Amino acid sequence: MSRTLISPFYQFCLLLVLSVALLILDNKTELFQPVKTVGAIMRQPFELGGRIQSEIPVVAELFQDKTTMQEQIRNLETENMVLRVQIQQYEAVKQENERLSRLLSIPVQNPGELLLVNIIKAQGYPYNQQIVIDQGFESGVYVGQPAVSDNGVIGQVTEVGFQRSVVMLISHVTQGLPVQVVRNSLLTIGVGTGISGQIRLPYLELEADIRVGDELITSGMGGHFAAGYPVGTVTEVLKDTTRPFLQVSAETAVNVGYVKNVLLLWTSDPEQGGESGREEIDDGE
Amino acid sequence: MANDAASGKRSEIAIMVTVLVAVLLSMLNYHPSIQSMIPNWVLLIVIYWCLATPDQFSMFTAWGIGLFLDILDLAILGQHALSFALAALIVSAVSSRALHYSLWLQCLFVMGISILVIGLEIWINHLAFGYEISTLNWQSGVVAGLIWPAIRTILNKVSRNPDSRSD
Repeated sequence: MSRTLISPFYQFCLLLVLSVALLILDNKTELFQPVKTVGAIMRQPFELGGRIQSEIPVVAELFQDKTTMQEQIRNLETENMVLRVQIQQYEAVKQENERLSRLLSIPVQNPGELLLVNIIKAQGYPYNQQIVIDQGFESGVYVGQPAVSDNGVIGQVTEVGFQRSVVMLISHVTQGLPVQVVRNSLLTIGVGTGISGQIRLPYLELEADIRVGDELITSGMGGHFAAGYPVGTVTEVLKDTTRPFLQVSAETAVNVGYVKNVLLLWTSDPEQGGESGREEIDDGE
Repeated sequence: MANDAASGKRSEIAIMVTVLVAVLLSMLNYHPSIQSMIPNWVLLIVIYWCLATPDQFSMFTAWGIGLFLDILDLAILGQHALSFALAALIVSAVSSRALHYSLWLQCLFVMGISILVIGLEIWINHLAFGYEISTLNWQSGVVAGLIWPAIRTILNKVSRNPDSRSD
């Protein structure tokens, strides 16, 4: 290794200028998009550790007690039975709803195709609100595609590789999601805070009818998400009369740290599937 | 002198291997409750090699490693690169003295640099995406300082004897 003649301070200044140029170019332009794709490929060998980790419970299952297994199967069978009965009612309600919607000439939203994917990496850093999943354009994943879990909305796909995609969580600061309060159908927009598991509702007027504990679901207005997926629960409502809007925070329904599987949704409406850019909300405060 | 060149080559290999191991560690999925306390493994490695072999390990190497991490982490490019270069600058400025610091002082030193790096990264994210500075997870910096003695011991072993078969 050669000893450079420039003093460490100037070396640092050189690197500082380089870094700032990179930061600005990466933030303001799409110039480095290919680099991100390369990065997603380069990650793969390093993800080995994480993959072995996720296999440990599977291996542990092999050594499980027979009676515990039987117990589990019995529980699952019971649960399955209950769900089957519930789904019968659901089918009836759905058909009735479709019939009523047609009568009122409201377009019917059908749930489209689903794909169960695995999380490879949840959040590189606590403030990096994204997860990497193990499916890419090979299986038809597209940018803007909604991702949900059994508890509710997770986020949307923002980068697609061959067998890897990045899902940005709804708690990421660049994310905005049209939501609806279940109790009174109040429509508003949920915006990410950058804090894991937290969103805020910055555009509610001071008189808006919202309380702590209100359930939020997707309203289906943005076009990406079909209506009705759980988003979160309101945890705090602050009324500051010097500000034009209420300060409302909500806890997301899904805690990504504890989620193992993610469902990707394809809307059955062909106009909505495919090309749709990343939805960004300008924070107009 | 010939010995010197050989040991230089060896420590280069040791640097590469330890950096790769640190990247591997940082890619593990930690339990959400301890996620915010996980130190930046790669930064610890960078600090160690800056202290131990300032001749082999330049600020440019630190910057390169940071950039590599940026690419892998799908983070904004230049974020880790800049913060690692800053850490290398500070460490190299005091490296001759820091080696004689008591262990406690070294721990505090590492803790300080770690928190500074976390602060710089969150500030960059604040400027780029509007993250709130209050989300700074200083805990991971404190943990970095606390486990420094263990890291130092392990890496001392590695750097003295990176490849025993070549002798």
